[in-house]
Order: sequence, then C-alpha cells, then structure tokens
Amino acid sequence: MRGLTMSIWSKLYYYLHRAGKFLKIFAMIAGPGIIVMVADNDAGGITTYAVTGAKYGYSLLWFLVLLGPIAYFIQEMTVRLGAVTKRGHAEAIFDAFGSFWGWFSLLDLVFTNFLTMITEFIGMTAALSIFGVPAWITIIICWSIMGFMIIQGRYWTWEKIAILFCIVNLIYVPAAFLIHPSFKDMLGGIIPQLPRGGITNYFFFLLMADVGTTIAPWMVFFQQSTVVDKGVQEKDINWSRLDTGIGAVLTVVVAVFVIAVTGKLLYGVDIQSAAQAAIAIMPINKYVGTLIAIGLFDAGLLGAVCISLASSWAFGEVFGWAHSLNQKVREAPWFYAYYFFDLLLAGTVVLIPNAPLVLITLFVQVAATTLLPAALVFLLLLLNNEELMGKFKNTLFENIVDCGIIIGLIVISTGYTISVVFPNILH
Amino acid sequence: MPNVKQAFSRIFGLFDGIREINNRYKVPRLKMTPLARFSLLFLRMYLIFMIAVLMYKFILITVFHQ
Repeated sequence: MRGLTMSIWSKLYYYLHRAGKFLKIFAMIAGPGIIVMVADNDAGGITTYAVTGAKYGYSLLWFLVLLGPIAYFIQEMTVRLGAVTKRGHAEAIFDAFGSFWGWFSLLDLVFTNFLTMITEFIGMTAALSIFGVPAWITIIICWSIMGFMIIQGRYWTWEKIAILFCIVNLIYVPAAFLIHPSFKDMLGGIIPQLPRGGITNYFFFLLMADVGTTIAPWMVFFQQSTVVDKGVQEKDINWSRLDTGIGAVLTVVVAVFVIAVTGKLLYGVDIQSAAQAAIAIMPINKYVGTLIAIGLFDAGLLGAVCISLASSWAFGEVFGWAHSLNQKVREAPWFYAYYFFDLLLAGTVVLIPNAPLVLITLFVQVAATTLLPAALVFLLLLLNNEELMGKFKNTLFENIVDCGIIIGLIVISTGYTISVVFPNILH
Repeated sequence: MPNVKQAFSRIFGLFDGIREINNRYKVPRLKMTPLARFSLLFLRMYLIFMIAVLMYKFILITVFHQ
C-alpha cells in the first residue's frame, strides 16, 4: 500500500515537474506570436467585429472562427523564415528579389503602416473621448506609454509589457459574461449558415472586411523581425508555432466575444464604429460600455506600438542601422528616431482640425492591398527555397494550404478594396 | 553655414546609402524558377491593375467630381 502511494506521488511529482519545465520553456520563447495575433485585433479590427455583430448577430461567428487557422498558417511561415535566416522580411525581400521589389515593399509598408497608425490614434482618441478625455491628452498619454515601453533598452521588458496589453485585450470576455449572452445561440453561430436576410452586397462587404482585418502586411514583417530580435533558433520553431497557435486562438476569442456583446445588445442597430457601439451600450449597461471603450483604447495602443516597430525594424534591416530593442537609444539612434517620428507624426495628424481622416482610412485599405499579395507571394517563394530553408522548407501539404489561403486572401482583399474605393459598385 | 553644410552632407549621405543598397541587392539571389518568374509577372500585372484602379478613381474625383 505504501509502495503504491509512493508510486502515485512520484508520478504526480514527475508530471508536475514536466509541466513546470514545459511552461518555463514556453514562457521564455512565447511572445511574438501572441503579440502579433492579439495586436491584429486593432482599433479597425474591433470596429469591424462590432459592426458585424450589430448587423448579423451571431450568425457570422463561424466565419470568424475560420479566420483563426488562416492567420496561423500565414504567420507560422514568418516564424520559420525568421528563425532559419535570422533576417527580417524587408531584408529577405531585398536579398532574394532585388532592389525594385525591396524598395516597393519597404516604401509601401512604411506608407501603409503610417496610415494605419493614424487610424489607431483615431480609435484611441474616440475611445477616451467617451470618458470626456480631450484628444490632445489622449495623444500625450499614448506617446508616453509607447515611449516607456521601448525606452528600457531590453526586448524582454517590451515584450512583457506588450503581453500585459494583450491580456487587457481579453476584456471583451468579461464584458460578454456581464450581459449573459445565450451560449446556445453562440454555439449555433459556429455552425456555418447564412444570416437572416440572405446574401446581400453588404453581407459580402462585411465578410471581406473581416478577412481584411485578419491578415495585414505589417503582421508578416513584424513577426519575422520580432523572431529575429528575440533570437529564436531553429530548435525553438515548434515552441514558436505553439505561441502563434495560442495567439490565433486568442484573436478568435476576442472577435467572438466582441460579437457576443454587440450581437446581443445592438442587434439591428446601425453603428459605424466600436466607439459608437460603446456609446450606444452605455445607457443599457454602463460597465459593459466602459469595458468596450477600454478595450478599444488598448487595441489601438497595441496596434500602434507593433505597427510602428514593424516600420522601424524594416528600415533598420535595409539601411544597416542598429535595430534591436535590446539596444539603448544611443546605440540604435535611427531605429528609435524612426519609431518616435512615426508616433509623433501620426498622433499630430489626428489633432489637425479638418484633417481628411475618412480619406486616410480609405487609403489604408488600398495601400495595404497593393502590398499584401507581394508580401505573401514572396513569403511562399522564400519558404520553398531549399538552399535558404533547408529541412524547414514548406512541405507539399503546407504548400497546398498556404497557396489556397494566399489566393483566397488576394481575391478577397482586392474585392474589398474595390468595394471601398467604389462604394456604389455593391448597390 | 556649417549647419547647412552638415545638413547637405547628411542628405547626400542618405543618397549614398541608397546607392549602396541598390548595388548590394542589384542581382536577386533567389533562383528564378518558372514559378518564381510567373509569380513576379503576376505581381507586376497586379500592381499595374491597382494603379489603374486608383488613377480611374482620381480622374472620377478630380474631373467628374464623383
């Protein structure tokens, strides 16, 4: 009997020890995947989900669940490419495809990222305006937080602060629980179906918008640069895959719970943004409205930090500047200068009275769509280069899945862009 | 005057940097397989298409005020 008890205890100790070791290694390697995926739910993303929920209730949940694996397959390629080549995506494009495609990718990335940053600042100012905070104070708060995050000169510190913001992004989960959504209806929404009202032009428009927010060009550049800066090795690839997989799950969880809130409280209400959703929810349940607004601010902040860093890394790689978060400002002055320049300029544009913010939002989509196919096709070609990738090159299965996803993304994002540029085309 | 000189040397330094990057990446390192050639051709066509769409929109806005 004593021997049996000892055996159970020793087995329990063994499994706990293994679980502890597993968690320890994962905690060391995890970060880039979770951050990029959660940051993908930026201010624009939260707005798209909020509008989707208000318009179609829970009937499009299945589509958002499908977007998780799509994002995973694309981002997983950047992990392998970064870990094997130890190069960011911008540098890899210059090297493999020459200076024309290199400059095109770099300049389009920088332009798209800058415009996207403006939309993040618009989201953040709109979120805090709900609490009566003037836009200029919000911008100063954002600059201070974003500066504090990276000024430490340690990648580790930046990453842990970013993960903290990722946890805040999950605020939509308790917000949904506060309104007691029907989990039966939510589960029903996970089964593929057409919404009430059938297939309409607006339905297609929202589907395309949901896809457009799931994969953005900056994510490809950002995760590859993060993997390199963190020093992820080939032996760590499986851990990084797990990190990316968990991130993909979190991104879907956030999307589903945003829809859970707006699908229950605002179903049938015409809203255009997440900030409008928060304002409309305030009279119904002020706690939920507050959480939505906080979540929107957090989403914009996380998005802005990651997007600005993606541009700084890309410039640093190509121009040969020191470009690591592990370096102090005096060691990598241009890298940090560009990061702050991007932040200051984007924040200032939002403060300009009568700035053409609607036009900027429109151009974000157009600029992103010109870059997305190139970034994804280059990714696929690089991942199939045996000389570069060795045993980590794409398998036949990965090629079939990735090709399907990339073709689908190019078609859908092009369709979305055309419908944004020519809004009457769908009516 | 020294400040102006310094600014000019910085700007020309940037141009030198760009020239150096262009020289460094003059020849694409990726082996141009038929698939790679086709992909690059597709991307060029796609880029031309997107520019055409944007120009059409620009003409609609500026000339026809639509």
